This record gives sequence, C-alpha cells and structure tokens, in this order.
Amino acid sequence: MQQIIDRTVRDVGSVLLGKERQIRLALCALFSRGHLLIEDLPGMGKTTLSQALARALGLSFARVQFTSDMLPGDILGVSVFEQSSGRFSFHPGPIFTEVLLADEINRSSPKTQSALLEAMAERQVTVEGETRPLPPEFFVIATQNPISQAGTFPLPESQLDRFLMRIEIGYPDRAAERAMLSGHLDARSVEALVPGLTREELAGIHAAAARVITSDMLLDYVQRLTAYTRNSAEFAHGLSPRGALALVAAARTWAFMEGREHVVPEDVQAVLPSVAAHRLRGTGDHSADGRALVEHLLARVDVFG
Amino acid sequence: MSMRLPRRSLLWVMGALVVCTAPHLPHLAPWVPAVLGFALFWRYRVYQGRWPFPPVAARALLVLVSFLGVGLQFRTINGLDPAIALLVIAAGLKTLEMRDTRDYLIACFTGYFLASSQVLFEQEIQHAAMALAGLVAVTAALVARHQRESARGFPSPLLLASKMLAQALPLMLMLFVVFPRIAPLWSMPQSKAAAKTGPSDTLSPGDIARLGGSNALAFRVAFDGAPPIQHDLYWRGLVLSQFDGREWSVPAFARMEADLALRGLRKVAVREPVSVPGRESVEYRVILEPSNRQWAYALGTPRAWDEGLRIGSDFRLISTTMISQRKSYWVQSDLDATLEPELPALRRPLELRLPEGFNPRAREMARQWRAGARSDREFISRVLAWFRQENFFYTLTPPLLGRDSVDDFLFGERRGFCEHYASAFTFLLRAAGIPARVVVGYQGGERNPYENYLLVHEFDAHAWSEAWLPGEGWVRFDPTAAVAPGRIESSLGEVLSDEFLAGSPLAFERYRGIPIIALVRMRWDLLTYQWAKLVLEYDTERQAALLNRMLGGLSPARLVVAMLVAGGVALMLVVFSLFGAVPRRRHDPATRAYLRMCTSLAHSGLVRLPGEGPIDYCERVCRERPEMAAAVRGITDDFLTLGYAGTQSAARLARLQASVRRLRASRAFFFSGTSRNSST
Repeated sequence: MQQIIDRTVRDVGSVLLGKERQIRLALCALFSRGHLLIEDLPGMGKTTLSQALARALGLSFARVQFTSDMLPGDILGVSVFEQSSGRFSFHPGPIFTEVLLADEINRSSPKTQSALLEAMAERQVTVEGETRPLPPEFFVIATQNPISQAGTFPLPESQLDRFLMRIEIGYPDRAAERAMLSGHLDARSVEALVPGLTREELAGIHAAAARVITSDMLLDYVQRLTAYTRNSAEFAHGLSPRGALALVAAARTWAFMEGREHVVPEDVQAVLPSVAAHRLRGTGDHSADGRALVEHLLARVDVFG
Repeated sequence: MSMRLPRRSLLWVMGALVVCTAPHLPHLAPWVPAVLGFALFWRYRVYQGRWPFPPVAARALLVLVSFLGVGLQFRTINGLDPAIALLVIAAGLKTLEMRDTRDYLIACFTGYFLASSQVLFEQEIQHAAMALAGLVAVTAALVARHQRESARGFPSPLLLASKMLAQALPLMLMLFVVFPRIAPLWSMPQSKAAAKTGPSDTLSPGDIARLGGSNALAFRVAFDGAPPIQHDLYWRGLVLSQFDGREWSVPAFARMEADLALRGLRKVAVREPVSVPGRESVEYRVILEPSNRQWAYALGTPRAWDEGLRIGSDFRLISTTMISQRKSYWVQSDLDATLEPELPALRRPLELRLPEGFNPRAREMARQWRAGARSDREFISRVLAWFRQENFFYTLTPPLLGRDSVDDFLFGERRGFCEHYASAFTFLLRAAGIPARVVVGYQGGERNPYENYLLVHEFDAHAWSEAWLPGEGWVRFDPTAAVAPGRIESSLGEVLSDEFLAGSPLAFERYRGIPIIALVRMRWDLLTYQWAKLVLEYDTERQAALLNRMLGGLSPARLVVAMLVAGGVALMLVVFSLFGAVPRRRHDPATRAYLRMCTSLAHSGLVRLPGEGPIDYCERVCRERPEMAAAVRGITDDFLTLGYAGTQSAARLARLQASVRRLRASRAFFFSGTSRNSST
C-alpha cells in the first residue's frame, strides 16, 4: 500500500517539480474523501497540479472554468424540452463526474459558487426539485486566486468550511526552477500521465486510513487546540466541530501515508495549517494571516497539556 | 501614553470631584463650591461642544479672583480651612484646562487629596465612609480614563474600582494595625475655635434648661459588671460653692486646680481630698465626646483613675488637656463613701456664704424653719416635703426671674427646671446654717440594649445639691426628685414628653418610643461606639500593647522577624494566586515518565517547546546530543506506542520507566562527575 502511495506522489511530482509536500497534502485531502482548494497567484501551477491529481487517481474528471457570468445551470445541468419526445429531459452538467476541477472558482458570482454547496457536502445535486446522486467517489479540486486579486468574489465562509484543505503551492525552489527553465527536465506533460491507482486501491486506502488509531491523548491534544481557538481573544471565531472532525480525519490519513497505524501529534501539526488556516479569522492585530495564526496556535498549545 | 482623553472619562472625573468635595461643604464658604460648580458647568458645555475652552486670560483671572476671595475671607492663605478652599477651587479650575492625560491625572490626584483631607476635620464612621466613596469615585475616573472608547459604560469602571479597593483592603488593615504612628512633623492647625459644649463653670437660672434642649451625646460609659441602678447614676462634674445672689460658680481654688492640671502637675488638689471608703464600688470606662472643656465626669467618689486625669479637692476629676477630641478614661468609683467627714473650720464660712440683701423672704423662712427643727436632717426633710406638697411645677421653659431670683421662684412662679430647684434648695440650707453647695453634671443615661453601655446626652445634664452633715460628710440631696420623681427614675423625655426637644422636631431622640426608630438609633450608636473603640482610640500606646501581645515582646529582632514572616506569607499568597490556581493535569504513567525525561533533558539545556511533539523533540535531541540518541529514541518509541498506538503493555511501561530512570541517573552521574572535577 505504501509503495502505491509513494508511486502516486512520484507520478504527480513528475509534472510539478520540487513540491512533494504540497502534493502529499493534496493527496492526503483526497484520500480522506475531502475536497481540496488550491490557492495561489496565477502561473504557479495550480491547474497543472489539479489535473495531475485527477489523472493520477484514475478517476473520470471534468474541468470547469469559472467566469463571472456563469450560472448554476452551467454546472449542475438543465432540463431541455425535446421536440422528438415532447418531454423535458435532463441534461446533466459537468458536475456529474468523479473529479470536478473547478478552475478559478472565485471568479464566479456567489450564486454559482453556492451551487456547489450541496454537491460538496452531501454528494448529491437537486435540480428542479429532483435530487440526483453523484458518484460515490466525488471530489472537487478547486483553484482560486488570492482574494486581493482583481475581479474575484471571496468564497463565503460556509463554502470554505466545506473544503477539507486549502493548500498553497508557492514559488519553486532554485534548483527546480532552473531545471524547468533549462528545458532539460524529464517532466512529462500532464496528458502523458497514466492513472497510477485503480479504484480498488483507492477504496483500500480510504478504508485503511479510517482504521488508523487515535488515542485519548491525541484527541485531548486536538481538543486543546480547538478550545484555544474558541477561548483566546486572538481569534474572531473558533474552529467548528466540522473543522475538528476534518482535522482528525486528515491527521489519520497523514499518519497512514507516513506508514503509521496510529496518529501522533506531529501528524496533527503537519495537516493543521492546511486544514485550519482557511477556517479561522483573527481579531485586531492578528487578523492578517491565517497561516501566522495557526503557527501561533501550534506554538502556544502544549502537546501534553 | 495617548494624549486623547476618552470622552466618557470627563464625566467620570467631574463626578468624582463632586463626590470628593461634598463632605467638605459644612466647612466651606458657599462661594467656594459655587466656583467649582461654575468650572464644572463650563467644562460640561465644552464636553457638549457648545462652548470653547476658556482663554488663558480668563483662566488667569479666575485663579486670581479665587485666591483673592480666599485671602479676603480668611485673612490668610495659611491654615487648614483656606487650604481646603484653595484645593477645591484648584480642582475645579483644573478641569477647565483638562485636555490631555497629564491634566486629567492632576485632577484625579487633587480628588484623592480632597477625599482624604476631610478626615482632618472629623474621623467618625460616616466620614470614613464618605472618604472611601471619594476614593472609589476617583479610582473609577482613573479606570475610565484607561478604558477603550468602546468599553461598557456607567457602572463598569465603578465596579472595577470597588474591586481594586476591596483587594487593597487587607493591606490597608494591616498597615493600620502595624504601621508606626509617627507624631505629626508639623503642628496640625486646629480647624477653628470649636464651640464649647456641656455645663460651664457657672450656673444661672436657665443654663441647664438650655442643655436640656440638645440631643447631642455627652459621653458613653461601659461598666465592668452590672451598672448601678438608675437613681445612683449621678455623674459629678463641677462643684459650685460660690453664690452671688443670682449665679453659682466654682470657687477660685477650683479654677486654680484646673489650671495646674493643664500644666501637667501630678498633684493639683489644693487640699488633700479626704474620704472614708464605703463598701460598694464600680469600675467603668467613659468615652467623653469633645466638649472643649476640662472636666471629666465620674460617679460618687473616685478611688482610682487613668493617667490623664487629676483629682480636685472636692473629688471632681479634671482632665490634663482640653477635651477637644474624644477622650477615654477608666475610673473606679466608691458609691457610698463618706466625703470629708470633718469640715475644717476655715472652710465652713465659705460653704455658708450668702450675699447680703438678696432674697429676704427665703432667708427668713429658712431661719424660722431651722429654729423649729430639732436637727439639720429634720429641716432638710421639711424643705423637701414642702417642695413635694406645694404646687411646684417642673418645666423646661421656666419664666424669667427678677433680682431676688430665689424669692421669685419659691413664692411666685414656682415653675422651674433642675437648676432652679438645686439653687433654691442650697440657698435655703445655707440660710439655715447648713453648709451646702450645688453640683452640676449629668443624671441617668440610656442603656444600649445591644451592648452593655450607657449613652449620656446633653439633655441628661442635671444640677443637684450636696449638704454637709456632721458625721456623714457631704450628702447628696436632689430637690428635683421631690418635685418630679420621674426625671430621676426614668428620663427627661418621659417626664416632659411635650417640651422634650421641642426645638428640634427631627431629632431621633424625640421619637425613641417608636420601636423601629429606637432600633435604628441604638444600632447606629453601637456602630459609632465600636468605631470609636476600635479605630479612633487605636493610638501608639495601644499599637505597642497589641504588638507586644502578639509578638511576646518588642525587641527590634522580633519586629524584623515578624515583618519577614508577614512579608513571606503575603508573597506566598501572591505566588499561590498566580501559579497555584492553575489545576495540574494528572497524566498517565507513561506520559509522566516521558515528561520526567523531558524535565531531565531540559536541565541540560534541551527544553521541549510547548508545541513540540515527541518525534520532533526526539530528532532535535538526537541531533544536538548524539551520545544520548539511542536512549532517547528508545524512550520516545516506547512512549509513542503506549500513548498513541493504544497499546496497553505493562512490560513496555516498565521498560520505559526503567530507561527514564537510567537516563536520569546517568545524567546525575555526569553532573556529579563534573562538579567533582571542578572542585579538585
């Protein structure tokens, strides 16, 4: 199982050089059956990463480029009157797939963003009063520009909360960028990626990750962290129970990916910035940066109480 | 420090200044609070944005005019009253230029000064309470200054200030008890020539009746044991044996004795007072209210008394100081002693002397009655019976009497108060050749049911007579008792319920028959009494006595030890409240062992950070101390297995604990080795 995961990481890493940690985090989100939000400046490889992930997982995927004039029907699908049969028939939208690549999700209006809410939370879609299920393996991998960029609509908190993780890619390091610029890299194009996982393997990973042990001591630590976000004056609001659940789930998968059968505090610490930073907001002087807030949180809360 | 003042804090400081000034109102000329009010009003208009700040010239003018006003009123700006007036004015004017924090703080500090300076005038419990209210108000103003604009409003600074002062209370009490009472480094100016109260050393008709209209307290008495019965409660104060036809006064030697006492002589009596002890004696402590006079009151014949008192030749007690503050003294009295069993021949004419040409009718009647009586006693009984049977009337509002006041009283109006009866009775005795004199003091007293002490008021002031009988010495006779027995048996208010305190309809004493008023009055008096006993009388002597009792001696070494212990206890309390309040978490044995390792490593400089997990810490330790790597790795592995993998293994736990012990021991060995090396 470990080799499968390492191979997947390697496969994805072959198109996005020098970003192993981000790739592991992204895979961690998907292995935890969570949705993933990738946020960074244009040109950092967001789309490349998301496509590579979709291919590597070996699932069917559809890509939607979000724009400001987009309507919910463009994603969910519409009922069209068919002359031949004289009836309305439903034309499913791109959401009826296994991996939905929602590119530049914050370019669309909140109305369209909200069309994803039900699909992400309950893996089903209700159109014109009829509820239709989505495939059992349904992931949203969304990319977005930082909200300071022009022409963006910030995602509402309810929407953000539904992403298990938000990761940033960041600039490549010097060596990786040099390799890229020199053109000698052995990077294959995304299209050349072959699916690295079978459906059975993916289901196996899901099941195995869910079996990872979380001891009382570890849950105590998680609860101390959430309690700190709720009680300290530095946070405008604390971590929700859904956020705490997401943290434990992600930590389990991370521990599994690290080859452990139990979660240790380091696993929680590894996933916490990605899981919590987009769910927390600071007050006053601390309002600046979710990531800095999480660093502060980690430094203040004692692992052993 | 920010220069901008929170808007709301201005209202706070103005309110605080009003609260601090209010207790000073009785001793301020009315224009002084008016200046304060004017300044505050102006500042309020500025606060509202209606008026501008006064220009510099206007402020200078206000200061000048106020100083001139104070100077003109008091003829000086030296002394307590002008100083307080200036302080009030300065506080008011300061608000007119209060723009930034510095001015705000000055106004607050002036407020503190005002609040505490009122105890220079009075130290009663209600004044202490008002001073405390002032302190709370000013502290609240300071709190409001440091609150954010968005903080909650009205009561919250007050609550915080009260809490802060309440926290300071234990320290205050401790300082009150142990802080050395340094004598003033400068002489405290007396606020003003305070009015004299109580009986004076002369007695003319109407004097005591005037005191009868006052409900002020004269003194309180606490008896050791049961108090004597009501009609033994004759508090002797002054002995008047000189009569000029109208007015009784103390003889010249008595004035001299008082003078000598004031100069601090130990023996002031011109003649040695002689008495034969009786069988019945009482001990009691008197707390005398300030009267600005010199006499102290005692029952019967004093046998023993406190420092600070002297005895005169007629057995009256004299204070060595003017009683301008509450004075407390202890006396042991003999209730049935024989005063002066022998009357020296030289003194007899003095005690018999009557001015010629006054009151001929009374003189004639006395002479006839004495001739018809077999003894002095029989004559006295006849006079008392006459007072009882004839139509004499006891009243607080006697009519004015003419030149022959005794004649007018005995054969004319027959309406009088105790001094009329005492005066006429003594006159008749002297006219009959029996040495007699008038005694002024208080009679009776009201028992406080909540604690065993008596309250004696000004309206209990009384005058009676003493006659010298051969073999019996000076014997007390009270003609008032013959006329109005109720005055002696109960109190003035019972006998003259209509006239009693008619001049002060709001006096509590008037309505003491109403149970709730009686209750409130007695409770309040008890409080004042306890305050006087516990707080006001706590002086250097008592402090020394208390410390002596507590420490078993007053050597410098003991004091230092006591202070160190007290300071240590205080520090321990602070430490406890800072660190002890955090509940220590109980860890399971594996974690305890692991944390012991962390503590041990911390001693060698590798402190685990709070947010550092076991694996990260282990890696750091291995990096920095490769020699310990194996041991730390093993311990960490075992701990992770026990703590996070959900394995319950006693063997592993034992191994973990053993490894931790070994690691600690090796570290101890390492350190003891180095210390041995360094010592050689």
